[in-house]
Amino acid sequence: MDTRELPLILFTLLTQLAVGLAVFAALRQWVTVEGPSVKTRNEWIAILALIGVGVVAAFFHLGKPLGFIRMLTNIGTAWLSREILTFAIFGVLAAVSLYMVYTKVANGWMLKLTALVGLLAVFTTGMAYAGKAMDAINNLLPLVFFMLTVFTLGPAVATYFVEEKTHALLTSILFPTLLASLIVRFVVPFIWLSGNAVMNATGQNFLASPLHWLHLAALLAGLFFVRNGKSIPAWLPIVLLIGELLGRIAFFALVVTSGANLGGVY
Amino acid sequence: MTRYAFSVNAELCIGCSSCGMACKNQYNLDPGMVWRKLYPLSEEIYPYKDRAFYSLACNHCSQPACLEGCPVGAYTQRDDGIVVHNEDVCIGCRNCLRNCPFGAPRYNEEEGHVEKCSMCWQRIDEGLLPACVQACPTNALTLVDLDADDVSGTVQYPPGFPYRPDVEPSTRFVLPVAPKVVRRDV
Repeated sequence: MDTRELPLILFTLLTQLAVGLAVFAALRQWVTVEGPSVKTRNEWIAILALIGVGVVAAFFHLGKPLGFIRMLTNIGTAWLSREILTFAIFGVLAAVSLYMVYTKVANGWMLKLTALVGLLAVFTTGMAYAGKAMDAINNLLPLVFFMLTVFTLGPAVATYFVEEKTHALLTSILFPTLLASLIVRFVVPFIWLSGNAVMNATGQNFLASPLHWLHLAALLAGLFFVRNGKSIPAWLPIVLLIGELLGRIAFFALVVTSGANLGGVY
Repeated sequence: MTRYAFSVNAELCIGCSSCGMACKNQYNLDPGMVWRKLYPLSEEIYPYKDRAFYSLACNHCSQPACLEGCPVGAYTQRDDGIVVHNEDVCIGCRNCLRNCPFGAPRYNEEEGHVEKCSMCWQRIDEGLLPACVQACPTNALTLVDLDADDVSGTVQYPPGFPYRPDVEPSTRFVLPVAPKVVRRDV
């Protein structure tokens, strides 16, 4: 694998975890009218920290990190510029949300807006990674994969910040997400096999990769342990996080570009 | 209007790599860096003992995916169709590598930026041919004007080259002719 992609693996994973937490923090406010608590504050601190670490990591994938500021130049056509902008707005809104939670003036609309902008940011990430050089993912698949990560890690990691009685709400979302993620991620490489030579090579790479199967194993473990719909074991979010990390490494390392097959049959 | 493009005649190409060498010499490219490369056609496409090649660099697409996806606007397109990459503006995010279906942009690890074929626009502006075209000993690689020259005998998407009408690569190809097989009566 190209180690230069490691910063992007961290950036995408950590920011998607942050968005997942923000979405379920807002959802809990909406569904249960959960008031500001010390744990909620910790959750928003974690969200901000994840965004911060993710953004710092992203700097390291640039050949010229000081040029970062210019990344908004081509917002008219480049999804990467839009991604930076939406994540910047998400970061600011998350900071405002934390302030409001701290000062106990937490406003449900503010949290919902932050979550919505977070989802919009993940949408831009999905579009940015649908690279035209990669036939297998030059479509909505990156968006689907990333959203599944958001809705897997969000409710799973949120269990560290909520009371036991709220676990039922989180598992009611986590179970179907894990099931959908498992099905999608299992089926997609086989669909790739039926595509052109480049897609076929991508499918073969995934099916031969321990990264892919360990990712599926983590999802399967999650599915098994949340099936009773009541509580999420404390170790499970870590297993799911490791699983998503392995899956993300596979995403960055195993997709074949069409330029790699020049002179061959497409 | 002028619309410059490379024309690759796989029937004439003998695989000498003069084009790639001329390119490296012209721009004094770092070791390991190539802007133009020779790709042998696979046996499934050209199943003969003598081989056939495509000499490929940037295809200077009409709808360049690199330009569209570059977050810092390091790519520009001239009126004559040449897609120019500004290394001083590039911040090395490598998003163009994810977007170019032909693998034309290359990342220079030492310099921290991407590089690619410029079709020698400075030479063209001086009335000269691109270095690779000038160096080709068999005239397999030529510069054509898609708006003025007759390119009716060429192909835009030959076997061994991605079919990507969404970006409209400008390069045109003449396919290799199957060698004549002479059989002796036994």
